[in-house]
Order: sequence, then structure tokens, then C-alpha cells
Amino acid sequence: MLKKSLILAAATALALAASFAPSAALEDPTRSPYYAAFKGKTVAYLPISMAANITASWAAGVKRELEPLGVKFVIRDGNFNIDATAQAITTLIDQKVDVMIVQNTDVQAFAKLYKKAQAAGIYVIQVGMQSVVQTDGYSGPDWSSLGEKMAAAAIKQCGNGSGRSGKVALVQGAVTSANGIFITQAIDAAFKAHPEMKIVANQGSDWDPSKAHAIAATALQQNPDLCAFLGYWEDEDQGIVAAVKEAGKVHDVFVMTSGIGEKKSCDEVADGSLDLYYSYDSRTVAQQVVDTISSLLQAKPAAGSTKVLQITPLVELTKASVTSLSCWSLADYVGNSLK
Amino acid sequence: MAISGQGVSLREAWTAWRYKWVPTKIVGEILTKRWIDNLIPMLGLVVVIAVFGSLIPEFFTQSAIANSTRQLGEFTFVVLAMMIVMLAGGIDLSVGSNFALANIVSLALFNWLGWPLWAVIPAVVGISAGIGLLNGLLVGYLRLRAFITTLVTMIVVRALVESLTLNLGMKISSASVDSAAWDFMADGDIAGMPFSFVVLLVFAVAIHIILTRTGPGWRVIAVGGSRRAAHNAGLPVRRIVASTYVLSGALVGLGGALYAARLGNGGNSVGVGLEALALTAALLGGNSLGGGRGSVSKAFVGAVIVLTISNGLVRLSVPQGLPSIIMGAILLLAVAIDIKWLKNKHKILADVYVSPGYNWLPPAPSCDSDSGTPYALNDKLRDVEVIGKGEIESPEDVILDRADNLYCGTRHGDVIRFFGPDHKTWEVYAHIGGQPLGMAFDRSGNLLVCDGGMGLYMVTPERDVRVVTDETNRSRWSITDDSRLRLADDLDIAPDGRIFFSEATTRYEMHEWAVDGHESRPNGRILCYDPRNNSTRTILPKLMFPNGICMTHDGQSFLFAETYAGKISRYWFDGPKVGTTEVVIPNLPGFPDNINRASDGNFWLALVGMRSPAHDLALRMPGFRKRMSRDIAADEWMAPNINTGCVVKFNLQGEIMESLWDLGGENHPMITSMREHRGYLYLGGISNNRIGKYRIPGADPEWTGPDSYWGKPQ
Repeated sequence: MLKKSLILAAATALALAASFAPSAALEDPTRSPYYAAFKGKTVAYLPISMAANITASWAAGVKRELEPLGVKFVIRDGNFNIDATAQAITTLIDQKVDVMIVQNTDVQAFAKLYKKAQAAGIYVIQVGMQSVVQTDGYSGPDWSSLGEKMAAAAIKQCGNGSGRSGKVALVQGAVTSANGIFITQAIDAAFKAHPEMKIVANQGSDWDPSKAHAIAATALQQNPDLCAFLGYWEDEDQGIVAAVKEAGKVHDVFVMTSGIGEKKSCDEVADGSLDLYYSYDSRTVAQQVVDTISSLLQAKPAAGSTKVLQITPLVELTKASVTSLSCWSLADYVGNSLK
Repeated sequence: MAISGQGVSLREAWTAWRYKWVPTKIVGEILTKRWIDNLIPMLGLVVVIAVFGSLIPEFFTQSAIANSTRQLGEFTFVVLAMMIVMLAGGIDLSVGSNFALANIVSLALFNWLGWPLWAVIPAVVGISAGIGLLNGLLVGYLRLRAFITTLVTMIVVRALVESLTLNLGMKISSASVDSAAWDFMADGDIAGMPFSFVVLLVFAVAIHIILTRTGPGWRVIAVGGSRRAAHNAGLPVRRIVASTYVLSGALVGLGGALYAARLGNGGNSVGVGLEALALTAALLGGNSLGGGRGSVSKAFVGAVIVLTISNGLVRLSVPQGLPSIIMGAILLLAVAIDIKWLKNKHKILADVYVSPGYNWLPPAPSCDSDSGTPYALNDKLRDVEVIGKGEIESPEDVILDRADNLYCGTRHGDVIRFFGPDHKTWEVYAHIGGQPLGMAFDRSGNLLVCDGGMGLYMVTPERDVRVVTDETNRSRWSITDDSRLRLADDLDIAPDGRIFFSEATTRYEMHEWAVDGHESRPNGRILCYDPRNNSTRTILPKLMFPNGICMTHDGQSFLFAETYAGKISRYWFDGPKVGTTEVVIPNLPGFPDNINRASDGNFWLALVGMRSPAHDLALRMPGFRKRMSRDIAADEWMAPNINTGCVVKFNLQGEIMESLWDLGGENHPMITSMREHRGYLYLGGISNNRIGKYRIPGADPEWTGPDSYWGKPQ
């Protein structure tokens, strides 16, 4: 009896031991196609200008993710010159890069070129601002939605029942950009129902803070009872902030703008220079771009056959709601990535 | 060059070799060419293309070039506009804003209002031309300063563009009209070239023809070259200036319309900085800011350079802001080169053109009065008769006809005739111009005259002045055009009527003959004019200031002098020895000028100046003479001594029979020519104000030159 149970025990132990022994190696069959999809591909990035935090942060985010996968990341900086970027796009089409990431400062400018690029089999991802032609992907905020929010905030701040004059000034970036067109359309639509809201100034600053400063200073002089500035982008709207400070009207004029949510903007919200700030986190945008590229390179659809939008959510920040975690540090994010 | 075995140092041998075989004079001659102005921009273009072509491998693929030429088409319109305004001496800073205006108006008319293309283009061109007209009225008619006026126009039009963009931007960007014609303007190709480039070529050729071959074009360049002179010549300066601005506006409008078709961008940044780029391109191509110098090809070269650089910088991912800095630096460089070149071109040319050569002369025979040589100084010419003292100037050569009348040239361009036989009265026989030099009578009694600065002329017995020839065949390897005669010096006539004459130098004009002496290079030549077929050919090139020419008595050869080589040679143009040259006298103590026949079968020779040891040494030191020409004024250079001279008689064997001097230069300080006639020797000198008459002891009292050449008349 004991012998039988011993043998049983031994057999069980052996079986148990065998089950714990390492089995023959099992490879992950999805790995190599994944890495093969990226290796040797070229991704070209065409910002309006690399001199702005927004475009630099996108470049850092995308490069940091894609380069380790063997992707060649090239930057063609048009430096605010549409023609130069158009030339760059044409050259890249000739060179048959795999992906182009383009920031549109004008909704029409590259329309024909996108058609050419897609016809040549190049994936085009638009970032930040759209064009009239929809391509494989777009990552950025929904400008119309931002416009609606801005209009609602302006109405609340300056409209009926607020005791203010109802006069607002719009300081645009590039008037013919998606940013300019859609925000303005949304504001116009919203103000239709509120005749007490008067747009006393509506000008484009071409993304230039000194121009925005001039526009704001003039608007303040012309309308001493100006209620609010609706700025379309944080970098140029530094000009508005400066003009308001110079006029000594920091507490009288409501300044709102939007941007990438970097630490500097939070500081300005906290100290009252900015009254309302909408953040479309550029880290999110960069990640969205990478995700889109990743899907495209793996799934390999025909260029232009899939049109996907990745809308970046807007986070509203005011003095009351801003915390130390609301923003992030550009220096930390970019680090050494762009070198 | 006979220097071997002459005891010359190795260093000097090297100098001789270097100055003979290394053609430094070519640099100076190249600088005189008119196309030198285009050379620097072309070199710049080659450099830029080479640099960017090597840095960017795909820069010059066919599709890349096709794309660049599309952009080039629009940009070059603006550069052409700038060039035309600059040609008339102005500047148009409003081209960038005008371009933007044309762009937004095209888009507004086409996209928003839906006008057809054939209406949009003329409307846009008209509006931009209207802006140009505004500039033209202010600058051309009201005489406001071009810089400030077009700067103000630039600002005003830019404000207009911004307001249009603001009001119409959304409407333009949201509409989109599908038009095949519009797309063709933007992307279409004609014969493989982009549409915009083809349009540009058509206009460029048209403008080139207008500027270079039609009256209106020349008038624009005239106004730019010198406004006051153009005004004095009766040109409508204000109207011309205004029209350049109108044309500039129209061209910019066309460029803007093409740009609108290509990009469809109604934004505010269109054309910003375009005026600086266009100005850089125009200047880099060689168009002058001061006006009067410019061309379509210059504009083209500049546009290509600028576009290559700016596109290349984008392709190289040059960091932020650096492209603008680089373009700005290039603009500064272009302006500096333009100004410096204009101001200093003639200075550089003057500096570089004079290229002294190495000239070795054998030791001069002694002229000391006690040396016993035939050159020994004497005073035989002291007491000669003087003809026309103080009444004539610069009688370089003298000649007499069978009627004993005496002829000479003067520096006023006249041929003076002194009536024989006493030569007390005179008249102006004929006026030719220039400075008449060597003379001869032909068989029919026509007086042939070599006229310095003009060529070979003839005065008929009826006193009719005619050109015989003033050009010859251009030598194949010559950089300067040496077909024109600059300094025809002396001539003689062969029995068959052929005229052999010398041209002293092909590198300098008549009034610069001393500089040629300073150079001492074989710049001269002997030519032959054949009246039977009216042809002129160079028969003996590369002579060192060939001067006097005289037929020998055998009718098959002539003697010629090479002034700065101090030697007499003989050339056979006929007979068994045809084509050969022999040196007759290799070593004169001075510089030979004219040679003429003597009655006893020998020859008279004038020595216009005397050699000196210091000057002879300087002739072997070209570097020293080059530094001298560069560092001090021309009238301080070491010059040969032409304050004293003599007459020498020699024979065909090269033996000197006698020499005639005027010690102290009282009567005849310098002598360039002498002519024997009925026993007398008549003396001429280019710096003298008189003609001398010397009685030759024992000479044939019936001998005359015309009889000697053509025989006694029937």
C-alpha cells in the first residue's frame, strides 16, 4: 500500500515538476511586422515656424516616439513663408516621403498640393489647423467649438445683465486660417442672438505679438469702455496682455485666449493677466499624431482613403480653477529631443 | 629675343621668359570688354548652383527644376518690374504690397465674385498698373524722391490689402470655383515647361527687345544713364520715368495673378519682404541702383541666384531666422559690389591695363663727339634755314611734290602747303582731322596720309579728302577688337600700287603713344592695303612700335623701323625672298622714326630720341615699370629722352654713313622725319613749331622723291 502511494506521489510530483518546466519558446508574431512598418520610413514635418512653443513641442513629441522605431524625421521650416512651405511640399512629393505632417496657416494654400500628395501615395496628416481639403488625418482642436465657448464667455462677461458695455475686440491670428475663420464664424453666430454685443475691432495680427499689441492699444484708446479682448492664440496675445497692462486696465478688461497649456500660461492666469484660458494640450496633439501615423503605417490603406479626425479636448482655466497640475513644463517635455 | 650668351643673369633670363610667355596683358584687355559686367553675376550663379547642388543631392532632378521654374516665373516678373524702374534711375519699394494686392484682388474677383478668367486678368493687371501710375505721377511728374514715395505707397497698399483680407478673407477661402483654365494657369505645362514660366519667357523676350532695340527702350536707359543729359537732348524725362512705374505695376500684377492661381492664399503674409528679395535679385544680377545699366538677362540671373539660395536654405533646414540674416547679408554685399564696381572700374582698369614687358637692347654705340663713330655728335643742323617758324605746330612728316610745294601735317588735323620754291607763304591744303603723320605721293599725284587716330586717308589733287582704309582683319586670338586702326604711323607705296603702312600700337590710342613706349611690348603691326581689290590685311604682326616705312630701290622690299626696339629691318613682299624679314641695323643709339630715300641710293633715318643707360636698364625691369605706373602719375614716369634727336644716313648693308645733329637743340630740338628734295633736306618734328631746310653738300640738285618713285613725267 505504501509503495503504491509512494509511486503515485512520485508520479504526481514529477508531473507537477514537468508542468513547471519552461515550455518551448513562444514568439510574439505581431512584433516584427509592427517594427517593420516603421523602419526606414520618412516622416516630414512642416510647421508654420519652428520658433513657437506649440510647433516645437509637437516636433519633440513626435520625434521622440518615432525616431527610436527607425523613422527618419525631417523638419522643413517655412518661417512664416507660405511659398517656401509650398515649395517644400512639392519637393517632398518628388522625394516620395512616406508621411507629411503639415500645419496650415491658410485653409486654401496647400489644397491642390494635398491632392497631389495623396495621389502620389503619401499620407498627409494636418496638425493644429485644417485645410479645405481633408486628408488622412487631422489632430488639433475643434475651432468652432472653441469659438462657441469664447462667445459664451464673452456674453456672460459683457452682455445683458453684466453691467458692462458689451463691446468686445477680436484679435485674430491669420484671418484666412482655420483658426481665424471658424472661431469668427462661431462668434458671429452666437452674437446674432445678442444684439447688445458689439464687435468694435476685428483684425488679424498674423501671429505677431507686436501687431496684436498695436491692435489692442488702438482698440483701448478708441473704446475706453471696452469690455473684453477675444484673442485667438496665446503667443500673439501676449501683445494684448502688454497693451492692457500699459493702459492700466488689467482689472477692467477681460482678456481671453487659448494655447498649448504650458506653464507660462498658467502663471498668467494665476496672476490675473489672463482672465480665461483654453488649453489644448500639445502633448495630447503630438500623441494623437503619432497614433494616426502608427495606424496608417501598419494598416497601409491607400493614401486619402481613410479620413480620420482626432479632436483635442479643450480645458478651461480661470483664476479660480487653475492648479499647479493644470499646466506642464515645455523645457521638461522637449528636453534634448530636438537636438 | 637674343639674350642667351649675352651674359645676362639667370634672374633676368627668367624675367624675360615670364614676360614673354605669361600674358598678363590679357587681364587688362578682358576688363575693357562690355560683357565683363555680366561676368561676375554669372560666376556668382555658377558658385551658388555648385554649392547647393553639392549640398542637396536632389536639387537638380527634373521635377525639382520644374517646380522651381514655376516659382521662378512669378518671382521674375517682380524682379523685371524692379529692374525696369531701376534702369530709369528709380526704385520701387511697393512691388511687394502691389503683388499682394494683385493676389487678393484676383482671388476676390475669381473665387468670390465668380468673374471669368479673361476678365479677371486684365482687371488685376490694370489695378496694379494703377498703383504704378500713382507712383509714376508722384515720382515722375511731381519729382518726389522715389525711395520715400514708394515706401509710403508700400505701406498704404499693404494697409489696403489687410483691410481687403479682413473683409473678404473668409468669403474667398470658403468659396472655391472649379475652373480648368485657372488650374492650368497654376499647374499646367506647355512643352514641358510650367505655364507661368512660359508666360514669363514671352514677356522677358518682349521687354528685352524693347529695351535693346527700340527707341522707347533706349530712352529709358538714356534717362537712367544721365537724367540731365537726357533732358538736354529733349527727351520727355518725366513721362519716361512715370511710364516705368506703370509698366512695373503691370508686371507685378501679372505675377500676382499667377501666384493667386497657384496657391490661392488670401492671407496677409503674401508679398511681405518681396521688395527686398526683388531688390537683392536685381542687384545681384548686375543692374545698377544709379540707373542706366541693366538688362533682362541680368534680372534673370539675379532671380535664379536668389531663389536658389532661399529654397536651398529651406531644404537644408537652416535654423530659425538665419535665412533672413543670410539674405540680408547678401543684399548688403550686392549693394557694396555695385557701388564699388561702378566707382572703381575705370581705376582698376587703368591700374591693370598697362602691362610693361621685358625689352632687352644691345649696348648702344657711343655718340660721343670724340668717339670716332659715325654717330659722333656734331652741329651740322645748327645753321639750317627755318620754314614757318611759329606758324605751324607738330609737323611730324614733310613731303614735296614735283612743283616744289612743301606739305606737312599739323596737330589741328590740317595738311599745310607751303608754296615753292621759297616756302614763305602757305595755305591749308586740306583738313583731315586727327594728327596727320607719315605721307607719300602715289603715281597719280594723290597725297596719301597716315592719320593718327583715324586711319589711312587720301587727298586728291582736287583737294578732296577720302578714307582709304580704317580697318583691317581682326586677329584670331585678340581679345580686344583690333580691326580698328588706332595709330597709323607711316606708309610707302609699292610699284604695283599696294600701300604698306605701319600701325604703331593696337593697345593704345594716339594720345597715349608714350604709354605704349612705357610698356615696350610688340603691340604694333604692318598692314597692306591693296587698291586693286580694296582689301586691308595685316602682314607683319607683333612689332615693337613700327614706325617709318620706306621702299627700297629694287621695288621688292621695304625698310621699316621699330622705334622702341631701336632697330631697322627689311621685309620682302615680292621676288624670290618674298615673306622674309632681315634685320638691317640691329643696334641704334636712339629710337628710329621715319625713313625716306636719299638721292645717292641710300636712306635717311630720323632718330626721334636717344637711348640712355638708366632707361635701357628700366626696360629690362618690367616689375619696376609696373610699380611706377601704379604708384605715380603718368607725367612723372621715367620717359625716353625725346628732347634730342638726329638724322642718320645708312645703306642696305646697315652701315652708317653720317649723322646730323643740332647740339643744344636750338634750331631742331627733336626730329621725326626728313625728306630730300633737289639737294636739300627738309626736317620735321612732332614737337616742333617749324620745318628745317638743310643744304646737303654734294647732293643731286635735280633729285625729287616723286621722280624717284614714279619716274619723270612724260
